[in-house]
Amino acid sequence: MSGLSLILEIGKRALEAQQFGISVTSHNIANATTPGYSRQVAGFVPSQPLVTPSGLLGTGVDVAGVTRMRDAFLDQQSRDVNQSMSNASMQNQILTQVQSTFNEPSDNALSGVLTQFFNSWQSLSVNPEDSAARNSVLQSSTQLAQSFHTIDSQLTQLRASLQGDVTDKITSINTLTSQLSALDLQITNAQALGQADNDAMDQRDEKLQELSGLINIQVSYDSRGSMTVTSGGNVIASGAGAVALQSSVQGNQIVVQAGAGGPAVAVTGGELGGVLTMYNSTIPSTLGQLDQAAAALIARVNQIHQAGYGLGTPPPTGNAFFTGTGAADIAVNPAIAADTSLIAASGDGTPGDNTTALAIAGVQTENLMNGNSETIGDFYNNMVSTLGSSVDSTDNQSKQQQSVLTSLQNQQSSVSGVSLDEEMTNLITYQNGYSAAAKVISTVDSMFQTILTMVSP
Amino acid sequence: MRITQTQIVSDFLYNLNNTQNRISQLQTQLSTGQRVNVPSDDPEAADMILRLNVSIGRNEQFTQNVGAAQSMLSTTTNALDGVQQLLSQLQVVMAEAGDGAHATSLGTLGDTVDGILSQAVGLANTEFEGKYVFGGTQTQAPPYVLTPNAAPPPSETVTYNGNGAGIDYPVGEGLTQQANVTGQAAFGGTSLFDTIIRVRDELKAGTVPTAADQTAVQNALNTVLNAAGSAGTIQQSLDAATAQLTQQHTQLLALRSAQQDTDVASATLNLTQEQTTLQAALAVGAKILPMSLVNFLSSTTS
Repeated sequence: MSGLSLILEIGKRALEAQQFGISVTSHNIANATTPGYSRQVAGFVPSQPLVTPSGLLGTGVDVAGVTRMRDAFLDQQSRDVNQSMSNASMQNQILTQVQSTFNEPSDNALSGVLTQFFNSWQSLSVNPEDSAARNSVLQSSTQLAQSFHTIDSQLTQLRASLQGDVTDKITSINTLTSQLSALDLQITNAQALGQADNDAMDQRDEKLQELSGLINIQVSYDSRGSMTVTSGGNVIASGAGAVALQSSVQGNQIVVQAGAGGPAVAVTGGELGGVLTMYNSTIPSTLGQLDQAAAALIARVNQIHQAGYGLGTPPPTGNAFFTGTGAADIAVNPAIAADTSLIAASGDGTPGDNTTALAIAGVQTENLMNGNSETIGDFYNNMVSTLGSSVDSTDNQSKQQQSVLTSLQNQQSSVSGVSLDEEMTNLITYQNGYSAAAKVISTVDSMFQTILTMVSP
Repeated sequence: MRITQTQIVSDFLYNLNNTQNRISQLQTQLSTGQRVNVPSDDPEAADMILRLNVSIGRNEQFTQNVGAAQSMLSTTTNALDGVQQLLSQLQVVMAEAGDGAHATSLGTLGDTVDGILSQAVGLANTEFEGKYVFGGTQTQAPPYVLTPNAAPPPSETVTYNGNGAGIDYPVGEGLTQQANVTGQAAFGGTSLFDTIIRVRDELKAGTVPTAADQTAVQNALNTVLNAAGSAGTIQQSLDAATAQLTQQHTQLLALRSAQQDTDVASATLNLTQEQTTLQAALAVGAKILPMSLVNFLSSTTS
């Protein structure tokens, strides 16, 4: 009798085990498209054998738990690649906007307007007495000043708008870190009860991946599986809680601190890193270069113009042509804008002399920039093409990293992803196992019947 | 390697996206006709294009300047031709005066010379686009002014209000060309007019012009001819400059086009290839993506 009961017990546990397997499989199928979900595998072990005089007798199957299939090393690599990819792609996005403010190559852009400016002085040198030529100098100069203003103000606005981006990103980071802390606590609590909270672990990995797209992070785990997230050496999230990041404008720079009045965080990666690089260094340096070009033009043209003579008796002299000191405030001297006869074309006061106009037209080919090694036009062209190179290289970088990330995600998916074919196969296996176990039970049942019929009258 | 559904889907989307990106790029290149629309399309080419644009702009301006110099010079040459004819006419008059048969009409001949004088002064005060061409850089006032003399002879004096300064036009990279002929170069300052006035005064006074007068007229004529000759030489060199600028312009445009313009043939070919790839990807995707064991199990499980 004890033998038959044992078989019945083995059958019952087999039914339970196959059912457990089917429920794990159906959980997998249900989450096949859930982002960040790692497939789970039901673990079965043979249960403790029974010692009998004939030897050890198997007693069936035990469910050992559910294992999450995940490669922690791939996770870490994905995070590293993700933060440099997001950084490059964010920089690329902003640089593209910077590039578009210049609107090059085009005749209406600054380079074309600069050429028109110098050409108008050449035209004036051909007709120094002509008021139409003077008007065209005034017009091209006004347009030149306007072009400088437009680029300058668009870049300044773009930079100011990045402050909002920084605030948004920091809010997202802080939300993620506090969610991560909560999840970590949930995981370690379950761990203390000897249980693996697989779904919470998946969520934690997913949030960490999301966080790595925003900021550079390092993640470490202790023996209990509790995480510590640091950024630039500062702990920003752990089971003990999250440290909220704060941003503030100090001087001309945005500084990110861990906690109010806390240490400054060196943000080098992620989207936040990209925005900060643009705000703190790239855009100010572009604006600075634009200013340099404008300042050199103003100084040199004024120097020549002040020594020249306009039209009139006596010929007016000593007037500055431009006012202002940089790209933001360059303008044609209002007195000249009101009276074009003040434009100095003559070098000696005679109305037909054109030496001053020629000298100003000659500024186009004078090496005034970069330690007198480049013309203003070349300096500007270099600036634009360097900007183009940056857009191009950040684009390439982000594409490269994207392809590495895709390959890492494929590898992770190879380990963690749910394969419906596989799950269906498992389902059939478990189903067959279930049927077979049921068969065992019905067989034992009929054996019981046989015996019961034997004893019944 | 285990391959899962999500992998197939994400691979498919990633590659499809790349193909569509390339198609969109080629389409922009073909529809704008430009390979470089923003500097990042090809930073090196963009740098070249910006530099070439400057050269092209300068070249076009130089061509305009040469045109202006040529107009100025042809006005000058016309005026000089006129003065030259007047001087020849004067020589005829003087020869007539020397012929004794006409001795009685010397006063009439003097009137003719008077006409020659005023025409010559008129030509010397030729204006072109608001400037007096023979005044050096003093272009805003008539360079030659006749004033009656209170104590003749001579009955009138001529003053040159211009100067001897040349006006240089920029006509090429680092090249300037003087485009004006000053009154000093063309008429020896006032000497041409002084001579005409002297001859007229003599004729009006009934005196036959002397041999010295004839030499002076001949000298004046030579000076005018020399000035016209050098103006002609400048015009020839300006013609050469125009030809060179035009050739340069063509070359610069070709260079810019090589950097900036879409190679339509290869872009079209590439587009066709990408379209084929896209079609293949979509066709394969349509076949592979819906495939799963589930499709084959449905009949047995139900």
